Amino acid sequence: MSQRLTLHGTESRSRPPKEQQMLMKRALLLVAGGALALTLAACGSTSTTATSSTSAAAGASSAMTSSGMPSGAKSSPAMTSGAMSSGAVSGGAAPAALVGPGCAAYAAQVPSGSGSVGGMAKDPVATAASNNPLLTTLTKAVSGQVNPGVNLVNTLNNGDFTVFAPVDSAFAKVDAATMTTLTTDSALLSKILTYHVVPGQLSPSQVAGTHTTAEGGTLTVTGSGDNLKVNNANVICGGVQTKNATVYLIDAVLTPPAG
Amino acid sequence: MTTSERPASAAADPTVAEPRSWSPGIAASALVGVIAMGLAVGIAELLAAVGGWIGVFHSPASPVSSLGQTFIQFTPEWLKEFAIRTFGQYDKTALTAGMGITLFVVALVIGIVGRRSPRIAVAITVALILVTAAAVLGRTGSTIVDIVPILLGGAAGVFFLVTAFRRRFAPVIPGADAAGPTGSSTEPVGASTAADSPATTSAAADPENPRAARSGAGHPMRGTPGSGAVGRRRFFRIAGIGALIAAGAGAIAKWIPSGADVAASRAGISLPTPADVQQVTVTSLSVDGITPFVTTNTDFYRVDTAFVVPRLTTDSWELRIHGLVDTEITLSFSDLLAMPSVERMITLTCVSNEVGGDLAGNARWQGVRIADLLRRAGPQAGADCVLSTSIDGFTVTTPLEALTDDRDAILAYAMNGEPLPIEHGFPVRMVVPGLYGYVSATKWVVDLKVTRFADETAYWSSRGWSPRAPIKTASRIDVPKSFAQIPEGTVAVAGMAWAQHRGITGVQVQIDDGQWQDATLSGQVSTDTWRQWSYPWAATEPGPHTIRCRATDGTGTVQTDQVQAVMPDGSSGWDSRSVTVTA
Repeated sequence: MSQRLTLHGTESRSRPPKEQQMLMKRALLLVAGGALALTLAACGSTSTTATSSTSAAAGASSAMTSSGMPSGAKSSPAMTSGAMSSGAVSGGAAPAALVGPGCAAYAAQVPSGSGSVGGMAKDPVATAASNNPLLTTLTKAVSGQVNPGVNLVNTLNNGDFTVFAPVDSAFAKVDAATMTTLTTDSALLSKILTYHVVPGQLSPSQVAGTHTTAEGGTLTVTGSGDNLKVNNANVICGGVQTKNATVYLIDAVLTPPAG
Repeated sequence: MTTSERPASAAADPTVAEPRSWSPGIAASALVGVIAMGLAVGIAELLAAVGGWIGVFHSPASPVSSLGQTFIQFTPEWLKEFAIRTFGQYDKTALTAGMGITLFVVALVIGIVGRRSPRIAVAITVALILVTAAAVLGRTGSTIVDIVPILLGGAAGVFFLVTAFRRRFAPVIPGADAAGPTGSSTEPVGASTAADSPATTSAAADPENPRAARSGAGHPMRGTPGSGAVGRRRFFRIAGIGALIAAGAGAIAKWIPSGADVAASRAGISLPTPADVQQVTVTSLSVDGITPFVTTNTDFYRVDTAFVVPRLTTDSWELRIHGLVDTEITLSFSDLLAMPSVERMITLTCVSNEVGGDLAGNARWQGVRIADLLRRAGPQAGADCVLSTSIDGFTVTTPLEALTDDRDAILAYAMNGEPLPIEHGFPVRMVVPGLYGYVSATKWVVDLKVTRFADETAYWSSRGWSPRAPIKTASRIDVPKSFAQIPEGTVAVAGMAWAQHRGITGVQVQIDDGQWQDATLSGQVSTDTWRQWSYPWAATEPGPHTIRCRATDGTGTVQTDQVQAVMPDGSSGWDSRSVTVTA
């Protein structure tokens, strides 16, 4: 007679249904008991931690921080040992999955540190961009290093935004003459940069559609899933969280509408 | 019925079963592992909770809490970042769940291994117990006594494992009704002894042994509790009892309230009247969107490394002042409350506050001046630092002079007129005007060691942050907000400025490349608080504009415009906002 491997052990004969039922019941009770035991035991000392992250719109954080601005307290305990930075994704933006065909490559290129997907989460957006090796030109542009008359770092670091961030290769596509003009034409550079910012944080599930930018004009995000376009630019990797903004890396510099 | 391989002795009586073994299957064994883990953890937590409540054990005695804290400490950056990226605000919960899942998997492994080799399973369990004990001992504030819960809980888990996996089968008793219904209840000890003897173990206990397996084929004793059924029944009975105990212990541990206990402790405090109350008569500016002059307890920023917010009752709190001092002092909470106290309004700031950021808050604090306590202790020559420790092991080094000079460095037990909120350091914390929090504001403080900087490193200063960190002069723009679209007209530009312990004497505002204009200031309770400021901007030109602000401190020094990142000792640079004036 062949052996039958059952939940209850190896038996060489079949068991009567009644006995089987009883054993099943017991087994189920035990599963429940075991799971309950483990859960309760573990919950015993950690229940208060949970409450700290349920207070109003909370945030991802490395060191824990909560802000005292009128929007209410957000807090969470510190995590990383490297950088003590504040991390409240204000506005209650839920952490969303990344979208875009280039996320894997980005993660491979910047696997850790302040410029990685996880590292950016703890810094406000301009600071986070300054740590990202894909955004060196954008960082220069917003911090007065392309045009001393245009410095948006503090403006970008405070408030909630969605930022469409052209990567370095996107800026490389802009012709040299225009780049030279931008070094002195503050109004134009400012217009272009502010056209890439939308007030309020939009997750990948919210970003499709037409939005009014900080510049005043509108842009339109089309597509779905991993294939999003912002006007004519493609989203390489989007939904990257920073402390105050959701970032979408794009492969072209957007042109604000004329007028 | 094939009986060709049955031994001659049994062939004579078809109603006697061959020594038939039963051992739990893989799933049942895995379950046993989980229950063993639950039992160990449940009992340990229960003991830690009860002991903590009584005062015999300290906070590190909770194995889950200690494992968690240690786990966080040793978590590699990439994993923490993954947690933050994927789970956002629930990163802590995620890491806790991750740890729980790891323990669960280890429990499954222990169970599955125990099915064949109980000794190895026990060895793994003991190793886990030792690791947990090390985690408990590694936390500051723990003493050797704190490993008792995990040792006892672990012992219970091991006992359960051994009992559940002990090989069960009935011995062959020719002619006797050993396997009959009445026999089942008498089998325990005797059968186990037989089971442990090597001869029977190898011959009959091995379910893979085809002779043993086949021996019961078609046996008419199907419905009777034979030795196999007894073994199985007993196994599940043991497992069931284990699960119940584990669940019960865990439930009681959870409800033994550290949480409720602390809340009650906090509610039961009757704050003494301070001997020295600072008069707060500040004219607050009323501008829409400006930060209120006093930050409420619920709005106050919070930055710390606490994996679990420490639960410390006033009864279990004790502060020890020792080190390079003439006299060691130990204070209980009632000792502290009996001392003359002061009430001061002090603005705190986090070093990781970026330019324009909101990691600053202002509150009224009541407590005892640390200078008075240190004077009683008598710091010795050569000491230049005080290493303070939180109940959860977090450490801070503070320059000794900041705690002994004329500034109001206090051991605070009240915030805005009520006992410290639990996440802000209940029952006692340090508040030192003029220094960033990470070098001065130890929450849940239980130890002050007078020492030398050369001999110590504290948590953040061992991670690249400066050991000495006076707060840099700062100012920020609250309104208008970034990229605001503002209609032409007079616009209220307003915000905050601080330079704790030097005070703020002026704030200036600049629009684009215009002249710096003086802003109106709110009152200032002392040089240790911030000030609000506002400036009415005549925004007549439509188009984009940049607003900047800068402050002048009490020494007459204008805030620097040099941009510096938060590491290693605080950010600097003038705050600015780009806005658009609409026609």
